[in-house]
Amino acid sequence: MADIAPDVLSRAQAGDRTAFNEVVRFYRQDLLRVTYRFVGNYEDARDVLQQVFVKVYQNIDRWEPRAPFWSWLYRIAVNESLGWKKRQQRRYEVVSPLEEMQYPDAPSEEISPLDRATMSEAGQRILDAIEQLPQMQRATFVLRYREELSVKETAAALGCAEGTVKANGYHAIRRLRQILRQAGVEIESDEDESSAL
Amino acid sequence: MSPLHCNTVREALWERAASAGPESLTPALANHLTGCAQCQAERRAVRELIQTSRLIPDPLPPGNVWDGFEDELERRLHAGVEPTRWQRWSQRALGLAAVLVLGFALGALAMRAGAGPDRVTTTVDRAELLAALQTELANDARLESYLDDIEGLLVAYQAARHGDAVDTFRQSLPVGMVAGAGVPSEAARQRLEVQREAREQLRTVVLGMLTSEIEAERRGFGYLERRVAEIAGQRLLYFIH
Repeated sequence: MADIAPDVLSRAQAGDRTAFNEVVRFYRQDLLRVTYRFVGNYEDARDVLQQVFVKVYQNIDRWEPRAPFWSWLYRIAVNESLGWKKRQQRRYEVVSPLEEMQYPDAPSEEISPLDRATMSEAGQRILDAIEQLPQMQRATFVLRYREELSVKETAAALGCAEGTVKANGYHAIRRLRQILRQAGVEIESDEDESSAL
Repeated sequence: MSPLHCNTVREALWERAASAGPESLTPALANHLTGCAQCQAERRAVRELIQTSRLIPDPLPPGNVWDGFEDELERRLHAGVEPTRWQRWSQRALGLAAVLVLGFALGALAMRAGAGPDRVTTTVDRAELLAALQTELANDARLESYLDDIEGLLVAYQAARHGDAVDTFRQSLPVGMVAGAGVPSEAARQRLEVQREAREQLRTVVLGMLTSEIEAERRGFGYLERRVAEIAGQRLLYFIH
């Protein structure tokens, strides 16, 4: 992902609100896609994105130009999205009848039927399976394979070592295949292997 | 087939399959693949999975997704809606304090209730004492009022835990739950049942606390109030979590 001009960042870091608004406008589309891919619907993704920019605003003076600014933004977006998921799970978990009494509506499908209709059957199954992955495997899979970041970029965005990204990616794919197999979905290709070698 | 183990090859293939560009197989990997049908199949499946994942289209965001975005952000920046870690801990501490205060209040109630000469039974058996209390306090408006207070505190506590305003939290209560609002749906009926069970659990906790307190008083604890508060606090915290 391209980064915004360094002078705009410097001004934003110095507290220039106009420059900060430029930062927001520059990155919001890409970050909305990221939060959407974690959260699963645009209404909540937009809400999480607001929190992301609040965090960015509160901490922008801590960013150091040793790493790309966008990878720092990605990290915040991923953390906020995962935090949101965690809060939602906590909120809807039936930990006590009183909790249930206050939040009685279990989360419905996060992806609307309309959204689902635009996807292929296999795509829908894969998205369902991704939802079931453990948190870090899911984050790794989304960044590495959906956002198509490199191992290095994914590691920077998740704040972990490249080896951890590789291991999580490996386990994520293995787990996904298990889940899909259990759901009766076999992902097979008609591609001729000899031609691919 | 090369001496590479299949597991080693598959681990390497999984990472290579993720590369957006053409895969660069080492000669050893290519050699192994040529002679291993299982690894070939594995490679095809992983490539297909990753490619299918990449091609899953995201639905377009609604056309108005950015309407008012910056204004809302501006409001959030001014309001500082995201509580800091310290604020979150403060909220928890407040919740704990509220529970302990409530414990003291209930303790005081129990002491007053147990002090009367015509009060319940003379037996020290806990089960009998509890049964007597249940009978005596059945439909007692004071007990119901205390239960209402406790529920109110729990709502405030849970709202703080979730970072919501109490009013916002209350609004999440189902609207169809008001008595007389028509025939409830099956889902609403189930929620009512959950509410009723929660209330019963709360009643059981409070009656248990009162029983403990009366027992303790009979045993002549000099530091009764403090102990009662501890018991009440612990039980309520246990109930909350």
